[in-house]
Amino acid sequence: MLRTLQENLESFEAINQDDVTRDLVLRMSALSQTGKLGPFLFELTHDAELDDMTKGTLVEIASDQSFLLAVEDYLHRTEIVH
Amino acid sequence: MPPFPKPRFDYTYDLPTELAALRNYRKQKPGRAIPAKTKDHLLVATWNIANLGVQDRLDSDYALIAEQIGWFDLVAVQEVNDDIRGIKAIHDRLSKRYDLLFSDASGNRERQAFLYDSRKVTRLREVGRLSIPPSQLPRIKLPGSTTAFSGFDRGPYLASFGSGAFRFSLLNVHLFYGSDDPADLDRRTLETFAVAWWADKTHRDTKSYVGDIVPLGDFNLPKAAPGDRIFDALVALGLEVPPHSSQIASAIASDNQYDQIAFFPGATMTRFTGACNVFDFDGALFQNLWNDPNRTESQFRQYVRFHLSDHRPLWAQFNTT
Repeated sequence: MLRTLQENLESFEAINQDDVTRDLVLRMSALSQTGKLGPFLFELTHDAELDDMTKGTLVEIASDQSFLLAVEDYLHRTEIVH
Repeated sequence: MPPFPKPRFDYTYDLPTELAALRNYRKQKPGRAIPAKTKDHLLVATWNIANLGVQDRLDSDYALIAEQIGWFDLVAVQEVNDDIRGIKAIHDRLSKRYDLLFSDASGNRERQAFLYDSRKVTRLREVGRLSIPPSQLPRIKLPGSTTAFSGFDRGPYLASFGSGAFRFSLLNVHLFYGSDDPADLDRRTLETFAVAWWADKTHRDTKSYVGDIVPLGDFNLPKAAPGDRIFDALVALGLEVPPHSSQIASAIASDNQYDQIAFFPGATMTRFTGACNVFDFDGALFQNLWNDPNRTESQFRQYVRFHLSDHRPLWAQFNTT
């Protein structure tokens, strides 16, 4: 089911409010655009300090390139506000 | 690196003339401008000063080096020998507000050091050699290679700093070179990937003391472009290397881009102003020697690398508001 605009905006803002998550998503977006997400996802899924739920969420986000592009755009556009 | 031999010819220079040449070059030579220091910006540099503390430099050589270091707010220095006379001589020639921090010596009896303007830069609490537990070493591996990572020859030196609202850690590296032998190249690539691996883990760890990690220094990276094994290892997990505005190499005798400053997209990238360059001091200094018809280009380089370095400083500017 497609996410609604409001749900997306809520997700974007939640990402924006957390420094570590924001940086991580921006990094995933940059790697995705150059087709180089593979090694990063490998490290992520083999990180013993990360729980399975977090890994699953991050892998899901990483696999949705249009979401990554949209959230990157949102983060850049709202940068001046924060 | 073994010490460079003292040039077997006589050449003397006038320090005020050379200092003026450096300042004019910075001010007037197209593409060489270094921004003036301002309250809301931080100028970070990295410089491998060859065999510092081993080669018998002149007092005036240290003055020329200190002149350039004083243009920046925070400088990571590599090839600082166990004998600290060289870094001390530079520190003594800087303004009193510059502080000095250095590591213990490791491979090739080298330390890494930081010189920083303590009015602009505050040292935070995390300082030390980068440490990867032995149990984690097998995680540092290369696709298609069975070479194991056994640790760093010269462990990267980590120090956390603050300037304005910018809190960050610099990871001062001088990675293994060895030779062009495949085993040495594997080792160099593994060391590079270990830096990227550690930076990745620290950057996404919510418990990190400082999450904005900036690896910088001498990566012995031949070319900052995809397809170069060292470069590919450095950027594999998302570190980015800003292009130098002039594309001048950081090595005086080749096109190699050994020295780099890297950071992740996000907070640090947002603070990066886009200003980043190599300062080719050798284009300004010792012009009488360069123009002497009885001397060769090779002799000029011998003189420069003995009295200053075979590397040029690389710098980048960040917003600190």
